[in-house]
Amino acid sequence: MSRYGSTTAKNPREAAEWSAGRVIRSNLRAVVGRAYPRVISLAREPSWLFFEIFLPFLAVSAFVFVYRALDAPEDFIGFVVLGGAMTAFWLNVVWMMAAQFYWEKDQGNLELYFTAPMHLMSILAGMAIGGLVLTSSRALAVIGIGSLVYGVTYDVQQPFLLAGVFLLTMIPLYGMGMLFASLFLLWGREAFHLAELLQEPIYFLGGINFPLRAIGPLAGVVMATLPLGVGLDAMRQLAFADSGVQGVLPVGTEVGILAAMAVVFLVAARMALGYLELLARREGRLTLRWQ
Amino acid sequence: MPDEPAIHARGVTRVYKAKPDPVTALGGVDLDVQSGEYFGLLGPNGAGKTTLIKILTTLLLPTAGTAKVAGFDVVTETAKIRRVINMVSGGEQSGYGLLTTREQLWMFSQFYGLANRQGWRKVDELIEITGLTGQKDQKVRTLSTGQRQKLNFARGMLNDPWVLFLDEPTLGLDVAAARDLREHTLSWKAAAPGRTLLLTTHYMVEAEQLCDRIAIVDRGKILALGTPAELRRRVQAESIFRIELDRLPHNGGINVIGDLPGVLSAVRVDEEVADGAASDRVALKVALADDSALTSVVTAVAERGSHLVGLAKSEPSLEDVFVELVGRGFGDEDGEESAS
Amino acid sequence: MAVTSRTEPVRGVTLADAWRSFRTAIGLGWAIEANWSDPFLFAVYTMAKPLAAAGILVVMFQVISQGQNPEFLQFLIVGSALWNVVFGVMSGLVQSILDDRERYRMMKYIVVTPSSLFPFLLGRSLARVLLSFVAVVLTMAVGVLFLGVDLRPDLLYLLPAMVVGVLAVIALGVFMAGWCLQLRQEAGHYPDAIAGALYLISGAIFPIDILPSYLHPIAYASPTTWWLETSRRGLLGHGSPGVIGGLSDGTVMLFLVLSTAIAIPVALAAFAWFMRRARQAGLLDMVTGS
Repeated sequence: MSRYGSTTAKNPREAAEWSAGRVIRSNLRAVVGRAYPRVISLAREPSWLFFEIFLPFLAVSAFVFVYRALDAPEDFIGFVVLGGAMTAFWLNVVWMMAAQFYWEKDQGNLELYFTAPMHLMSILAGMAIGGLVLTSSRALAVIGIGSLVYGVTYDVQQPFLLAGVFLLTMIPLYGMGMLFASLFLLWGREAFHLAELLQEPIYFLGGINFPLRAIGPLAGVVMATLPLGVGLDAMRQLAFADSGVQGVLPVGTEVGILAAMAVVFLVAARMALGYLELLARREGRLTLRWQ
Repeated sequence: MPDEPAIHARGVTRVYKAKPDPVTALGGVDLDVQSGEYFGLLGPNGAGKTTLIKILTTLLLPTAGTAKVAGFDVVTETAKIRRVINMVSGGEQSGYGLLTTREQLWMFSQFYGLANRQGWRKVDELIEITGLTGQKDQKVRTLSTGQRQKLNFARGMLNDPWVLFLDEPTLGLDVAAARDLREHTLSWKAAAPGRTLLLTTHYMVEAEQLCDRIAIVDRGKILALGTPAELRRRVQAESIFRIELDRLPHNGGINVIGDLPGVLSAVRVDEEVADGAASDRVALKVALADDSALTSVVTAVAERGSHLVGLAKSEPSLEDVFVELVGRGFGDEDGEESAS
Repeated sequence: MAVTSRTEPVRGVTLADAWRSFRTAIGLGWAIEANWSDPFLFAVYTMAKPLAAAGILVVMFQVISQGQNPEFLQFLIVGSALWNVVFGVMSGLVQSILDDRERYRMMKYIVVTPSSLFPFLLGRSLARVLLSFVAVVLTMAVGVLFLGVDLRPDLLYLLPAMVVGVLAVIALGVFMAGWCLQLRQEAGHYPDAIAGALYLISGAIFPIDILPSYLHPIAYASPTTWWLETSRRGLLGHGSPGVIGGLSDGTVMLFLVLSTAIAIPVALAAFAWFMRRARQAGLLDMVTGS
């Protein structure tokens, strides 16, 4: 074979015909490829250990001390710790997925992604998975250290269900991130502010620091729209089974809602990405920086 | 499908919505690039070259018209096109600064669906070919401009594309780096039959050196299309030579040359003779109907006691062609395409 | 005239240059802030974020106290309102640095001008700082109108407290900006983390006495602690619960001034060091991203 290589196909038509298996394999490889820079950058710049693990633990501690100042029952400390751990995943969704295409466009990578054969969802999935190392570390640090330092006791009567609810929550959560990735590119001229907008308001609606029931009728809205809130409510019921604080809905119902959300958000994400691409190609936005 | 063009465009138009008025970046481009051809789009900034490449690489939709790459429609068959093309742009700063050269290329190999080991192998081959062996473990953000562009070019070859789009690939490179890159493109094309390159450039030398055919583009339209020689002939059908003789031919002087068959005119241009040359030396500008008449000129002057001291062919440049077509030079353009 | 035959000395950089750079950067910062979205989304962002932050605390309070202990609610709301300034200043300064380096790639061009980067940075982030005050006013307005916050402003005490306190927060932001210059693009959301950590030790949302005793010295050393305390006194007419609330107004103000007087030169020196390190390591035009 020449130094410059050659395909085995006889012509471009043959080269362009990929089997379904090849398409799937190619997209899975793209996931791995995109996850790689995320993972490797953690090793090459370890500042995240301080900023993404230690400091967030301190931020969660602030809310723990608010409850201590209010002489709240100890279960509420556990709520804050669990909620704080889940914010790690939300932040991954918002900053490492939703805002990411915007930054990729600025760097000139987005048009290279569009001209490559893999689907954009593979790129986003790669970003999410690559960010999971950091996210999981943060979540585990908050739960582990928070539980130890603040003496949180859990009453887990169905551990597999708890693990299952957690995993099920991740699917619509990351589907939402993929959806936002398109919407950020479509709506905003700057991803940073949109990402910020999706922090405190979502923490409020998601009941990160308090039982979701406390926001009354708004909880119903959350149940319909926010996988983070639904998942967290279910996980709290399972992790603190003996707590006197009730969830919004029974766990079984919330599991069903999460499953439905998973389908809805993944389908919506795929549609939004397709629409985004069409709009971007029609209006020439793919290569317009700072727009 | 036998003999299908690698690139086919009919009436391709692209209008950008811009304020205060829409900008027509392409105004009905017709183009066919055959498989195995090295095709050039030559034109000043703002001519529409990059817009056309973006349409052909599926980054942009045409406002009107149709375009196909490798037989696939750019609007409806984008997935198939992306499997057989690649693109390298000049001045590209894309990539992840924290990755090494090798890692960056491997990552893109995964985007093109290469298996893991195959990807690393291909990456190492391309690193060697492009002369980046010394930089393979260097972080991308530390590469020089020339090294960066070699990396971009290596990325462009990762998936062995059937059609490779080069959008001003030597922009910002020094002479040696640019020459290297051009040679790589020629070698890559020659390595397998059917490989097609579409090059956009505003460097005429580059277009002449590399391209089998060139389209001269300005303000969204193709003004002329042909081989470099065909394009030059539009401006100057005859062959013009500058001849320096040690003395005028005996018995007839300049008329000896002017009367020869195939010679259209012969004119003295002594003011062009170098300072310090012998006083008898003469310089002539001789216009021939074609190059074959040169032999009779050289024979005739030798028979009449003159010796040829210098000989140079004077040809119009592609800029001369452009000026002829448009009435202004490349340096007189309005600037960057504002809507792309 | 050839460059080598110049007879007049090249003039040095003056305060006028710094002011010009600062002023120009303000315009730039505002243009960027005003450009990021349509007015509706901009308004939503300006209101939703601070109100949600305060809302979290209000709900936590209501769930436990059921409306008892309104003084603590006032304590929470003032702390939450003022914290918008801390976040706004930090993120404004850090984001300016990272945006100009990684997105707009203009930092190197600014650095090579005779103007210092410092006034440019301050001007560039001023728009965000001012917007954070809008968040303060909004949160306080909601607190007064709907949550029973009893506002008793003492402007003679409040205004100097605000000025000094904001200078202290800017000093912290400058330190962060210099630090984030050494880091990668994702450091853009680190101000969130820092503000969250300061939240813990500044008495923003709970009295410092609740903290473990080994954290008290850190809390008392932070200028944000004294700024929040002086601001509470200037707005509500009384101090926080706990030890700090027992100090006189003058003592609290003195601690604010002292801690700020230490914070500012430390921040400036740190920024200068970070800039030198960035130049040594070639970080001023670094492009990262993963």
